[in-house]
Amino acid sequence: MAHPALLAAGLACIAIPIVVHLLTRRRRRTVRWGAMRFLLEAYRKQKRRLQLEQLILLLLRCALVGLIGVAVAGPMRGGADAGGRARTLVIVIDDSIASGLVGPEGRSALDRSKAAAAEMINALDAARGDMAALMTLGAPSQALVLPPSSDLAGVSRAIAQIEGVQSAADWTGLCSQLDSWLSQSEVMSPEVVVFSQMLEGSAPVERAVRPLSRAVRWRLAQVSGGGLENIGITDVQPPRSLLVVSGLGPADLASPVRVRLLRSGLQLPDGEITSVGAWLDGVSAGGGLVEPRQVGRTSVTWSQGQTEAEASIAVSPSALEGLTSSGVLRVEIDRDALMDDNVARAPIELRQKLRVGLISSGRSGTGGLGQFDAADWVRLALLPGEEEAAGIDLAMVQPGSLDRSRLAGLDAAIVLRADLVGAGGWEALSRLVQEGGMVIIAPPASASSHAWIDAMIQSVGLPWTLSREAQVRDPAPALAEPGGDEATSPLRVLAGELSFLVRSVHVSRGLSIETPEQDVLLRMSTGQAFLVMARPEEARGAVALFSSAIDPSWTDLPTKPMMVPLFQELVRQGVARGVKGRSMVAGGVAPVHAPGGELLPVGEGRSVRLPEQGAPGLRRSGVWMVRDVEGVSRGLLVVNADAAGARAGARTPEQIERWLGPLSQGGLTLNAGGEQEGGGEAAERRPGIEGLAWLAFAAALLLGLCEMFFARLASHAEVGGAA
Amino acid sequence: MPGPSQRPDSERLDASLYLHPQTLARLGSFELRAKMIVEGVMSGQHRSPYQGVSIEFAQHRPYVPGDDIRRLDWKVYGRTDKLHLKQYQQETNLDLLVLVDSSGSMNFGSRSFEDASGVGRKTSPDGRSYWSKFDHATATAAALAYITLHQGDRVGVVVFADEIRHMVARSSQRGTWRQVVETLAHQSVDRPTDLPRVVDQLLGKVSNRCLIALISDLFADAGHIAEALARIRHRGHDLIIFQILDRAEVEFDFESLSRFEGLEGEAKLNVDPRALRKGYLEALGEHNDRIARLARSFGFDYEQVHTSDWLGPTLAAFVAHRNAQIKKRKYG
Repeated sequence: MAHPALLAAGLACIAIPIVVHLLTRRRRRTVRWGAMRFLLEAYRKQKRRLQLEQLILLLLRCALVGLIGVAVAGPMRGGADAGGRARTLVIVIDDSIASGLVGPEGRSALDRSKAAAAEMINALDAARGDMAALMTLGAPSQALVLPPSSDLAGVSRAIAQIEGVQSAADWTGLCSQLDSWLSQSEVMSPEVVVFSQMLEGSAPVERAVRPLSRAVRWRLAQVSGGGLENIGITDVQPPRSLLVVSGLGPADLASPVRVRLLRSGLQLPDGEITSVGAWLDGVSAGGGLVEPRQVGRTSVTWSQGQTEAEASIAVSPSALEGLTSSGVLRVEIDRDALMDDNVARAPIELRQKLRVGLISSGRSGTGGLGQFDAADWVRLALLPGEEEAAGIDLAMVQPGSLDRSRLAGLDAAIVLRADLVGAGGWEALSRLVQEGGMVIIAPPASASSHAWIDAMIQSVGLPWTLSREAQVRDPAPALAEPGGDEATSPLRVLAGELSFLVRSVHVSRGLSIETPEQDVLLRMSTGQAFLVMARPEEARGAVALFSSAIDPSWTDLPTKPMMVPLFQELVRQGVARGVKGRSMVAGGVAPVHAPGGELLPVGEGRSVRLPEQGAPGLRRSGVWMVRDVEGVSRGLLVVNADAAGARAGARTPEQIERWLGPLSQGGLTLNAGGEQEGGGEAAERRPGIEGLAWLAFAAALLLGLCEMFFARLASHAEVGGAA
Repeated sequence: MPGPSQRPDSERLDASLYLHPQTLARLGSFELRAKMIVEGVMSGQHRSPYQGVSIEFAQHRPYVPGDDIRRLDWKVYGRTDKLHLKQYQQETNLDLLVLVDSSGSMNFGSRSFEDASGVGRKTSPDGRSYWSKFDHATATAAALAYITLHQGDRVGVVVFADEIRHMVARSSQRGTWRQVVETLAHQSVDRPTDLPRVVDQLLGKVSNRCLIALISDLFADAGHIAEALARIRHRGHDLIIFQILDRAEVEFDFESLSRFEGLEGEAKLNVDPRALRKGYLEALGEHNDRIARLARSFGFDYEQVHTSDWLGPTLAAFVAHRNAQIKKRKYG
């Protein structure tokens, strides 16, 4: 509310010139004058000077009234503080992960934002028509109260109930919702007030914001709290997301747990050490976490200015003993200003054995090496030693009789006689891929024409183009060293030896494959694709395709050392990609498809009902068990904090103004002074405005004195009234 | 000849309005003398001796202090034990023409009538509450006429504005005083001034040389005034100028915003008078200085009379100054 005395004083000041004018008219008396000729002569001589003096007096009086107007209007600026106009505020509170940064005083930025916003709400007056809306910034941005409500107490309660989330700031979502509301709203001049620290994480200036359809006045009530340092975990990669316990060998544990760290803040000192530990939490059948087992521990030493680091933690086999089903790999680092991004998880699926079907018509293993067919080579690769120790059960499936029942219970299928697979077979294979299975296809060596390709492409639905006839390559090119991102490659376990292994493999014959670059796992030195792999749309599993038959007449791969690890990894990683466990970053869309189902918390947390259509946006980190509408478990869902959104580096006002320029066509005010400037407006800024008003009144008074002095001077009256 | 105790039979003609007893008491001790000897109709065009060597005895008059004792009639003194002077025809031919300005500007006054009249009246017979310059001018004219008639000289009065509005022919008869007072009391004060035209009309009616007393505020164009003075000088008349000014006109001490309206139809002016005071006083002073220089250049006397002063001191100072000049001429 405005100060009533201030308003009354302002209005009274406006009336001053009118009163002066009326009094002057009353005071002007008529004099019937005899010596008029001398008066007129004097007036003619001084007319210009008198007019100039009158003009100066007029300007002084105008300035006087104008200053008074400024004094009165000052409190009205930025809203209706002066008491006349109703205000409509859209309060946006940054509850993203960055808001959890705890300052030296022990309060998080979110707590300070909430307190400041509550004060601002308290300063509004519902009786005057003030209204307020409430939105949160953490992805996905939520409109807690929109359209604006006059129930200011309700808005205050909603503010108090806001809890921090582990997702990044969602400016796009915020603007989208604001735009949608503005397009339907008739509110004349809404003001959006954002309470945020506007750090690197909460103000991602590298992502452009879309202008709103209507000009809106923005105010950034920048909450203090910068200058902190934060280290977060941006990614955790277990050796495999599927571990076959009975076949656990050196290859399974040769690759460590890879942890990516992100360091941010104003000062990034040299020699800082971050301890990184990994644990494996088992998940019981009832949905609880069993006693965690430590997998390993390491540390990272930061150099001056270093912002990113990767830590590798070797996995101890003993950590996996006794685990029989699903688990969660948990990585933690040292405590710092923000706890939420100090923990990251990855789901791990445990199996006793994998069941792989070989789709081939041959009689396997009956002759010598010269009579080996593709199935024989693959069996040798998958079962190089004792079958019990391999962790893989192989089943032979005749391609002509291939259907869903034959594939039931299989984790993967390797199609070696695709030319004999019928339409029903391809449909069954597509179904297997849809449900998370792995299908590996190699052209049959005996076929002269490969008409099966059309049926295969049509069934799996991948954008691949293959030639119908094999091309002979002479001399046979060797395989090239793989490029791309090793971290996400299904062959990443072999990364250390892959460059050595591929050199000895030559391809003398094969189909030509045209496929997107990211689908190619291996290619020949001549550039043609040798092995491609992709996940069909809306499928959990994956499809891999060799361009050459697994036959020495096409390629010497079967006889080379690469054969065994290649098929082992294809099967294990392929199946792992289709396992039920999923992970995501908070703020994203949950990669689950269980309409009407439910997310049950594993450990702490609240259950989430899954919508009938679409997928829910999850804002908090944690582990959930996915259950479909029939109550069947669909695996784990791990949500990790968005560490990128928790970057603690400061943004300059210039950066913010440049970034939010397109948004703020109605004006942008950046209060860089901390919470007193922002949320403290109700109790602390308003006195500032009134102080300005009183200052203007003082200036008006001074100007009034100047006016009186000049008026006296211009009248040429003698001091002391002797005239 | 009306004496100071004689009173008009009507209030309007009350001489005390014009000749306050205080004024007459001061004037009674001085003799108004012409600086030149008026040529009478009877004596032709040559100058008469000042001593008044008479051709024809005219009358006796009482002695007043300051008269030349050589002209006392000792025989009368011996018979009556009273001092009387013998006057001859030449001496009685001092003609005084009093020109009274009745233009609009003369209707201004800042002094209350009660204060100025000295007889306890709050308003003038026509209802005015202020003592105008015209009031002062008529009082001055009446005083001059009275003194002149008291000395046995002839007096005529001309009231003018842009032309001669009324005229009382020169005479030394008993009824002259009554005519003068009645004429002065019945004048309207308006219309602009046209002094050259008035002088032309006057000189067309005056054949012999006489003393002219011009009583006006002289708020006219200085060039026109110079033109009128030159014509009077050219015809050989002597002139006494009484410039009547009000204290407010001289000091211009208005403090508040005012609307000034001219009394002779000039433009109206809304102005803060304090802003114009300096310029106005300069213009008025420059005009008055020019009038004074003009009068001196023609050999005329010029006296500034303020309505805030009593008539007595002003006229007494003037008569004393006048006598000194005459004696200086007479004795060299």
